[in-house]
Amino acid sequence: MAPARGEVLQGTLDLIVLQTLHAMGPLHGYGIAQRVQQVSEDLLKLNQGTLYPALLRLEQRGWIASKWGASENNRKAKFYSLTRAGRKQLLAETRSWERMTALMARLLGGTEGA
Amino acid sequence: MEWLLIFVARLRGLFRKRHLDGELDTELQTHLEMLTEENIRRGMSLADAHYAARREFGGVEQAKELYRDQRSLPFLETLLQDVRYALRLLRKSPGFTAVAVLTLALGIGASTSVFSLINAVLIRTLPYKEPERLVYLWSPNPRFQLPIEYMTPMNADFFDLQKQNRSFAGLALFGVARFNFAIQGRADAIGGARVTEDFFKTMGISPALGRTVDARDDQLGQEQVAVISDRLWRTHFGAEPDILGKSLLLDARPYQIIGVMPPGFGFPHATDVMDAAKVSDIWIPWAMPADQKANRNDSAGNAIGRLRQGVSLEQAQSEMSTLMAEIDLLRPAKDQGFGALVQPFVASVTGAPRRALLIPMGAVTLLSLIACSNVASLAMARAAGRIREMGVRAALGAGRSRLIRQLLTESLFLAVCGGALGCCVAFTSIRLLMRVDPGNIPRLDQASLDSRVLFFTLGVSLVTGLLFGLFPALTASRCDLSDVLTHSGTRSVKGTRSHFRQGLVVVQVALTFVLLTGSGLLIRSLLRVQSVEKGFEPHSTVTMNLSLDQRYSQPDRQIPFYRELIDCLSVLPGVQAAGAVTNLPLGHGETLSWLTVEGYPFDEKVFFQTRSVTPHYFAAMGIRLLEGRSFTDNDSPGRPLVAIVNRTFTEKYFRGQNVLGKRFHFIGGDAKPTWWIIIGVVADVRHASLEEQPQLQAYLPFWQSSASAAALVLRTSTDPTSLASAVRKELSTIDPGLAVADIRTMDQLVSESTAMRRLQTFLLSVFAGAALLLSLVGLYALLAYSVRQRTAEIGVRMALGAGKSDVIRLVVGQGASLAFAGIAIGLVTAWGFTRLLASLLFEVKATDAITFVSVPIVFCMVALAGCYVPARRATRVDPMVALRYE
Repeated sequence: MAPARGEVLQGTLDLIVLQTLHAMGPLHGYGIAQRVQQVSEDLLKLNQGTLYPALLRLEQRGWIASKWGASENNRKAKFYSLTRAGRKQLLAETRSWERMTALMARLLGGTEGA
Repeated sequence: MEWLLIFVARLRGLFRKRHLDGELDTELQTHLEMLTEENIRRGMSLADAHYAARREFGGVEQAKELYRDQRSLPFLETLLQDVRYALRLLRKSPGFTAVAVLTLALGIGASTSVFSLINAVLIRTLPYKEPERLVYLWSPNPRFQLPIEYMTPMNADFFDLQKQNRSFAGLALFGVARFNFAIQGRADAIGGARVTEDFFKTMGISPALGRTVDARDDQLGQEQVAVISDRLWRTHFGAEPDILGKSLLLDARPYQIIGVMPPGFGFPHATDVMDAAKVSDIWIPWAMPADQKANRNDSAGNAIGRLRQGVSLEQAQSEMSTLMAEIDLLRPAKDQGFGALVQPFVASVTGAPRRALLIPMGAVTLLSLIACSNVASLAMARAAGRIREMGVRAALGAGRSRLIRQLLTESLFLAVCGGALGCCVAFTSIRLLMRVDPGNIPRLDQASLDSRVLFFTLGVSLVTGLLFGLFPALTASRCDLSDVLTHSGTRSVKGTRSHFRQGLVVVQVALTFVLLTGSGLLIRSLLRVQSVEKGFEPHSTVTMNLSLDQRYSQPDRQIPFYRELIDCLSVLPGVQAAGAVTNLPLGHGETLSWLTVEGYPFDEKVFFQTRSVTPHYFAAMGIRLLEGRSFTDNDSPGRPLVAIVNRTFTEKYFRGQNVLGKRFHFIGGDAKPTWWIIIGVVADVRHASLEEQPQLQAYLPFWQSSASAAALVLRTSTDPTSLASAVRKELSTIDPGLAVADIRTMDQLVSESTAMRRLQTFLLSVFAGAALLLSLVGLYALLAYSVRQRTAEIGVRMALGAGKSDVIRLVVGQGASLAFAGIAIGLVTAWGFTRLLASLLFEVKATDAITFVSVPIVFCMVALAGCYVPARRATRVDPMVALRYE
């Protein structure tokens, strides 16, 4: 159940999902899971099942919206898309991440030489 | 705001659960299928692809579980589930549910009703601005043994204090008055007050229209202005908006209306100060003449003050005491001794009702406890029958806290149902209570179920639910799994649980006994009060108040007026006797005088109730003449001064002597006192209250000692209302500017004077009755349950030859031993408790033998009757069926 390498922090997963939807447009759960694994090059290994509670959480907050539709293979699937509030949230979180990584880079720059 | 959004989303998830579950299934299924397809595309076999997909996906059920928790509110969901379960169970045992809900409704309803009274009378704020800063100012004098209400400050003292004090933002004098109020040829008697300039400022109430009395009005020549109440404005002026400047006649003098008060303002009320009308409707400036203001021997009115912001009661008291100590020295040494007492207004207004409501409050608490323990006992009996259910649930993995939670949900659900029904009970009972409203508890008639009361009810319901639910839940959830699952069926052995239930029944019986004893004592007191020798004959006596205006300020105008009026009234059809008296018995007015009885030294600690009466007053009031003669029309000015005294008077001063011809005089500065000769003795009359021993009383002839205000007393066989209109007609032919007020029969006055006692007795008796009912239900339920539990045992006994009487003895014996234990404990408790009632008892001791013997006997009989029913049922046990029962 637990991710193989490191905890996938809730906030991190949220951000990844938002970013994925931002980059790819509306996607179903499977698509999001594939994309997350592709992008992270399996660095972030998550049980795909845990994606669904996270999607629900994002939807409850109004950051994403869902709609039933047909998949490429004509399967009934739920498509998730970014809302306006989600876009704002993504922007805000991206900024805060950038600040954080910049800070960490400065902090650790001396010891590890990046 | 975000949390609200999430909450709403989750709340929505709570409903449409089935639908959403279906959607989730589809979604996850699709995901798995897509994963599998992908794996197949990568070259796996179908089985491998399927397996790999599952592995990648992780636990489907876990994901669903997480998802569901995220989707809705798990806490609420469990709660709903428990409530649904509770509902189903309760529906399956309607008997238990009905008894429990009704019991709770009774307990909660009773507490709600009492609380709504308390809320109306004691908690809701008084309709004055910052009433906690209002105070009464009294001027007690330890030389006189008089209640504080008599000790209003002397005029000159008051005006000195008003000038010198720094504690008060306002200090005012008001004098209650009854006015003959006339507009457009119609006269009415109306209650009101004369007030000094600061009165309205002190009360802190602004007028709804116009202005109130202020400094410019409170001086001679400027005083003919009036402020009227909202009520008067509506009843007599049709609520016309351009009322200001209109004039009205008060005691035959014209006054100009300068303001209308907002609705609800009617200070002073009868319950605020002595002698006031039920409510005040008109206020006029006092404009006290200079000589009256400077009088240090006359107290013309009551003083009310408003503490300055930040000044405490203690500070005000100490300043007043200091000032009064100096002011007191301004009077002759022999008259000195007056102090100052600052009394919080709110406490003095709510003090009497607080004491009056204490008993119902205590009783209703006991009743609620009985209701609680009753339901607890029922719930435990039910829990005992559910041991197997609990065992199975525990075996299937339910934690103890989960079991407790579910059982508590059940009891809280019951309690809330009981609370809802209790509100209905309270709603009805408040309406019933209004019927027995004694009329002398301020604002009692405003009792209602407002939000504070409903909040209280909810609180009581929840506490009740916890109280009766917690113990059964704790015991029921503590079950030994292997024991429960290996044994099946009922067992005849009594366990610790039934010990606890028996304890509850004993406690119930004891509490009920305390309530019954209390109400027994109060009932006996009430009977005593009602049968007390009043000294007058209240049946068919009609009374009304009349007060003359300043045209009649002199005796030579008063006497002819009253003589003519009484003569006219005597010949009205149906009138057997007509008289007038300065203060009616039980009429809340009293004239206390100092007398010097010939041959005895003057004693300033002894007061005499004195009244002026017309010749036929004794006949009209039904007061028996014991010796000598009554007054006649010949006892008039210029004739020898005569008096009639009561029996207590003769007993005290002339025991064993001939009282006729003895003399007394009023205390006065005269060198040569004016003697009054005693010509007759009448029966003792209870003037102030039926519960107060008759005092020393002296009557003077009205024609020799007249007054401007009097009560008319008519002994009649006709209907009071038609008589009143006949009296009004006679009065208006003599003087159209005058009006009678407060038309009441003496029966009404007697009834009013016992109303508070009746209310208390009524409430306590109702609660005691309810408690008796509940504890009988409790006892009955316990026995019935125990008979059911012991069916096998009884069957065996009967198979071995026990007769019906043995079985009855067995069951009744069990019940009786509980009842006796309860009664014994109750007896001891009541012995201690009833002392608290001592102040409410009348000619009955707190340890009254009759009550303490009869209540247990009655109680035992009722309890035995309650035991007999289940015992009878036990005898109908068929041994064959009973033995096969297991």
